[in-house]
Amino acid sequence: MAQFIGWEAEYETGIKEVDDQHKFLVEVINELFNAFMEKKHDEELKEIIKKLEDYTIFHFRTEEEYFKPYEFSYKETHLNAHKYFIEQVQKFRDDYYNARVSITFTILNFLRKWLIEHIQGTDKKTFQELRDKKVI
Amino acid sequence: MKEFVPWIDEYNIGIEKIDEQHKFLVGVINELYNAFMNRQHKEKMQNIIKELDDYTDFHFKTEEDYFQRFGYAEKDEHIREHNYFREKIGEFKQDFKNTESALTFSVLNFLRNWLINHIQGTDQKYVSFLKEKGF
Repeated sequence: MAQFIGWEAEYETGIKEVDDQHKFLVEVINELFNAFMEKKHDEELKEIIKKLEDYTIFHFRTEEEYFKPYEFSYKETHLNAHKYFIEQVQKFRDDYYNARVSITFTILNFLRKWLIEHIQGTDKKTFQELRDKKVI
Repeated sequence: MKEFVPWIDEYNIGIEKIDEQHKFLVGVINELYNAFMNRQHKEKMQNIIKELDDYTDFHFKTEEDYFQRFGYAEKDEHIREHNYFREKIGEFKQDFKNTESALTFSVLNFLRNWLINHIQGTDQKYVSFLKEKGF
């Protein structure tokens, strides 16, 4: 099956650990998309959603460990963006676990767009600036 | 309830990935029809319309990406048809936001007819081309 999100070289930030984690996160969203299209069992979907939540939190923490000690442009905005996305994912997990929502393409599309835009915009700028400053 | 657009075998074009997406799209139209018949509240309908809009765009992009990648000769005409449907859905989405009465049986009928005609007509034209490319 073609991928919901194909990985592109232009998504790379140049920090291997971060790129590897982004790839993993993209895979989790692809997995959720495939399970959704194949109308997989509820339990299976729940597991993937939980994995998305856990891995998102873990990944943002990794990024923040890289950049938190330094000053760079729009640092607050970057941190707030992480907070926002975690809140969205947690709300979705909570709603889904409590049978208040079903998975829709709109939600998957939101996850995809947010993540790719975040990687291509915010992440690339942050890591480029820190690399230019030669602190990482 | 009887489905508004039942999926029948002849709608399959024989490329699994695309058939799967077409089925999904038909499913969203059925969902919208059911919500319309059951007089669901506006927010619920708006969510379905958004789903239709988002998924249609995703599906068209999947096809257009194949056309681009493999150099399909009838790409431009095909994309023009897609853009027409995208515009129609966009207009309808906006109309519905303004007034719920924008969702009528004619609109549902249009969505159904356009999609099924497109699948059975325009989409058929690329089948042998993509199959030659290993689909």
